Amino acid sequence: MDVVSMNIINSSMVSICREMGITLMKTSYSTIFNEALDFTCGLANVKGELIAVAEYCPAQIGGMPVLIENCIKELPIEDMKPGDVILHNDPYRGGLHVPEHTVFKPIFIDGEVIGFAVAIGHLAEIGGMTPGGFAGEATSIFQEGLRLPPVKIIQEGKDNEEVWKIMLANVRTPRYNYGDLRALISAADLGEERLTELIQKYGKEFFLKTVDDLMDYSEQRMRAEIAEIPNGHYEFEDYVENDGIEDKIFTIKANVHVLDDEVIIDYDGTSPQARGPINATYGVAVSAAYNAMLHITDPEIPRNSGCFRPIKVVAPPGTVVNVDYPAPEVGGNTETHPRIAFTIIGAFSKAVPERVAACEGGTHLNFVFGGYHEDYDEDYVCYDLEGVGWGARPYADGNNMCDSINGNCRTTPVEVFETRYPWLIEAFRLVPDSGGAGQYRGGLGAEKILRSRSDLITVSQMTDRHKIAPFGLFGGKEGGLGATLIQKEGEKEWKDVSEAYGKVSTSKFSNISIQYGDRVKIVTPGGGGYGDPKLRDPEKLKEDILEGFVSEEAAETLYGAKESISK
Amino acid sequence: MRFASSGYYVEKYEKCSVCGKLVYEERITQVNLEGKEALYCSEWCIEWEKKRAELKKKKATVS
Ligand SMILES: [Zn+2]
Repeated sequence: MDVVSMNIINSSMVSICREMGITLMKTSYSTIFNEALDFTCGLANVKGELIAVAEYCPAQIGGMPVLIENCIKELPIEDMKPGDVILHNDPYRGGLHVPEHTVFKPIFIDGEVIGFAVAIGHLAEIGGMTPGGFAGEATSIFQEGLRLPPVKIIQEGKDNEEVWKIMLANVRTPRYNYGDLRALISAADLGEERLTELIQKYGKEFFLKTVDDLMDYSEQRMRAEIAEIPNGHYEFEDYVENDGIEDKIFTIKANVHVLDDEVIIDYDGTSPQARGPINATYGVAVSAAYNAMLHITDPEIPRNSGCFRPIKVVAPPGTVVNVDYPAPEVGGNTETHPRIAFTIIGAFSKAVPERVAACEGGTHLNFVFGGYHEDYDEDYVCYDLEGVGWGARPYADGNNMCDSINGNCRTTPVEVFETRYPWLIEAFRLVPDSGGAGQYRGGLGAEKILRSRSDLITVSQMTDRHKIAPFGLFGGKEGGLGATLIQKEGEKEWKDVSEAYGKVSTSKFSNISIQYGDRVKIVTPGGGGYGDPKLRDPEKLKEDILEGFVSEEAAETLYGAKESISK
Repeated sequence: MRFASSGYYVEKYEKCSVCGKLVYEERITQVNLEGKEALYCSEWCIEWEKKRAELKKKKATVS
């Protein structure tokens, strides 16, 4: 193993992936790409295994190997030609959820495919029953959007116009979808070009050998990390509060078996799949397990499929964590993924408390809407995601208002949001006391008030944590609940969507009509606390009160402060 | 999937009855612990199904 070359090649590949992402961000049309960064760029070997990835969306990082491995079973490498670009989004063929579009390009060296440049991104509009996807009340995959098996969108360098026509005829915003797909393709093109240059510099044989060594190295590092965890069977459960169709709770169960330097994560005991769209695909179940493992092990381990070799995932078919066709699944990748990942982390809290954090808000809020924009004389659609409070750690408070564990995305700035869409943001602030109390406090959630400037905006949402709060650990308290509330123009009262529109769920719904002057308030959940609140450093508590993060009342009731600290 | 085991093009998603991953040409069909014919992706999954049942039994006896 030539460690020096291995490090240089690894860093070069990670840089290529970062540059692919910057290209995607700079050339895309929709805010979900150019502001929120809901995408991932990576490189795969000829078997579809991940060899390098940049630090974008973790849901897509863990899911990428499953995706590519399944695609090349259906569209075999022998059928690929130089210049081909393949497009795929099918959740039932290794995909993560319908909006997640994977674009990958085979890399030919000396006439032979040696790997793939891969860009995965969440398209804001995909057809289906709601503008912006995330039909909170879908009961079938066919209501969720257009499904694509792996197809060549570019054939030998030329547009496959038949595929483009089908794609663009099935969405509400063809111009934006065109731009966003071009951005994904550009990222894959750039990845192919840069990796080809790198391979030419080092020579094919040396490069391939070094990449194999790199993956072995990551595997060894991951095995060493797991070997430090005491052998045993650790269990944990958390819940999705409803599925948008029935008012009932769904259990996510993780059985974590640590045996020397390997881990088996078995979801046996998880609820049967839901009628509504909270179901996760197999790709999500695997990705969430990898995500959890990467969060409790050394962040310096090079990220590639070598890390995943010591981790075996068992996701029983027909359950909320491995949905069977043709049930709906769009919320599985955003809501159920964080629930799975933190159920695994919760199980590990029993083995390695010093490595885990309390639960974060665990939702992307997924506030989607669309309509006609008078200023631009054009139909628009937006997928807006919001941050949540993160769970406290064994050594520090949780971060405020960050995207959930599988997203790593950004909130779209108010100025951009108001320019692009017919809303006025009247308030955007952190919510005091939403961070779970603890020796280390959970991060704060936020509150955003939007007022419609349009006669009709059609709104849907797929979120969770309106009823079941994010858990704390070791005496730390739960994080604050989320909420979505509507205030109709001319009315004083705020109502949830069950009260205002008669929906089954307040957190998962499709196509409510928002009119001119109506307000929507989105409250995002806070993170859980870690350790007994009474052990919190008084100086930190004082600072919390001065910052407005904790109220005087909570300081007394939850933290046991004897007198007013701020005076 | 290129061709489902029915011989038709796609739209049949066959999964390992234990780990849940999609199963293609490489597959094992045999009777499971409940006496029903089941699909497996590997020997590992056949063994894990047995081991998991033993662990559950042991846990039930302890509690
Ligand atoms: Zn299996």
